[in-house]
Amino acid sequence: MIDPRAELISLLPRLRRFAYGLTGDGHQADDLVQTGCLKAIERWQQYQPGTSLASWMFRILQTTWLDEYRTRQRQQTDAWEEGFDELMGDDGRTQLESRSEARQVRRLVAELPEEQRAVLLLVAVEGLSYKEAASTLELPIGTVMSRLARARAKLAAGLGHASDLKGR
Amino acid sequence: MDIDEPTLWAYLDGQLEADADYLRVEQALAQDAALRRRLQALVEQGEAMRAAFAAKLQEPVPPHLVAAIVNAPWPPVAQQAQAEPAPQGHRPVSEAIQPSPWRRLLSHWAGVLLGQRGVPLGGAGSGSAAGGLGGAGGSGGAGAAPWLWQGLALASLAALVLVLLLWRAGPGVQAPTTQAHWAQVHAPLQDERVQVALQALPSGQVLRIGADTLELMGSFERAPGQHCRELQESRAAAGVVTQTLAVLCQTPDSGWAVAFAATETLPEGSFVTASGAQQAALQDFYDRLGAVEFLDAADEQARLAAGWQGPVPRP
Repeated sequence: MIDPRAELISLLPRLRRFAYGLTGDGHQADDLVQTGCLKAIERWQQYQPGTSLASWMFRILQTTWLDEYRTRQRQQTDAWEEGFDELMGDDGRTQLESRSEARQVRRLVAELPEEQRAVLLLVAVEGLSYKEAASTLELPIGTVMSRLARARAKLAAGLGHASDLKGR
Repeated sequence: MDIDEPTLWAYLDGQLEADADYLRVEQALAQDAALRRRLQALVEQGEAMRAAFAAKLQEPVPPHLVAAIVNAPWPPVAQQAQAEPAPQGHRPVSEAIQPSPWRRLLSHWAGVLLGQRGVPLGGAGSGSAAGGLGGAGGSGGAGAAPWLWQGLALASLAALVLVLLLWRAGPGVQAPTTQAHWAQVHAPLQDERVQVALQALPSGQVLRIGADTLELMGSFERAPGQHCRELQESRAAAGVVTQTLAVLCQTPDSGWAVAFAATETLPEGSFVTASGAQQAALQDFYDRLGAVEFLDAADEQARLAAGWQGPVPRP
């Protein structure tokens, strides 16, 4: 059995980004990543060699988030604001307007239903193909595509590009 | 011709089924300015989405997260039927956050080592046997035009900076210390990621963070209880790759300080492995130490598990 720990450490930046998208809060994201990684190590015999470790980890993070964390988030309505400051605070190069757009995007993502958010993050941020996202989330590809379409339409509406759009 | 939003997205995502589908979209785009504007809106939305989460990828990973993974029992408790008992049983995360010696060390570094000057190390020269790493020399600029490469090779030679720290114990070792360059070389090697990697990563494994890579090349015991680790690091920034070959050794206060470092800057995208000049400087450094005997994987693992301190389990 190969020790996965070094590879997990290499994956941490991406896992943190995905978890941040799911939770909307930097501290909770890191907590989720830690829980997910320890779970992965504990269940390492379930990992199928040759498959994408990133996808397997995204799946673990997403189910852990749904099963164990989501209820907690309801009590943390302010978390997003803190998350913004933490994330953007030291990035002096970021221009104000793109900051506010980034903030708006994250808020819109946070407002999406859970099942749409995970699909959107995997495809639009993590760059997975529809097929990879489907196998990661153990969903039919049609479901992935329809959730993605709904999530993107909401994002477009929220960002004010909606007037140009048609169809879904 | 009607192209709906999901089709436009699939076009952008490169997820259309067949070449004919791409052709159909491209023909429609060529004829329809409104469709081109819709596509542009999607492009902008996609970029906004990536940009909104981009900063997270650049952030340094908190050392406690790395430490939690390194400290996780391996092999997992459930899987070690006939193996020796785990160093620590599996614990829930909340409990795992309790300070371990390891974690105390980490917070110690985070507090103390940042900005600390290189500490010349005490202790006598280590034991016997020949050392030195093989390691391929040479660096190349694959793909670059010959004239460009020639110019860059000259530039990188000029940029080759060798820094040798004085070893208090080494009799007669008068290492040239280039103070002007020292801060540049020294600072990145003292950052938390490197410190965590020194403590946690077995040799031969590569840590990738963004475009940067860090690989531990080997470990040796310089004096009883005092370990050193050789590492190779490359960082990409502002169009150049800074490639560092370094040896860091434990300080009396259980941190790691730079004992040797050779850096070279190369054009971005270069094949990054330590150059012949860096390897030669390192070999020279090892020669000055007297003799260096690298630990084998099992021995290194034992010391790593023991946090590189305390009584060293002898095979």
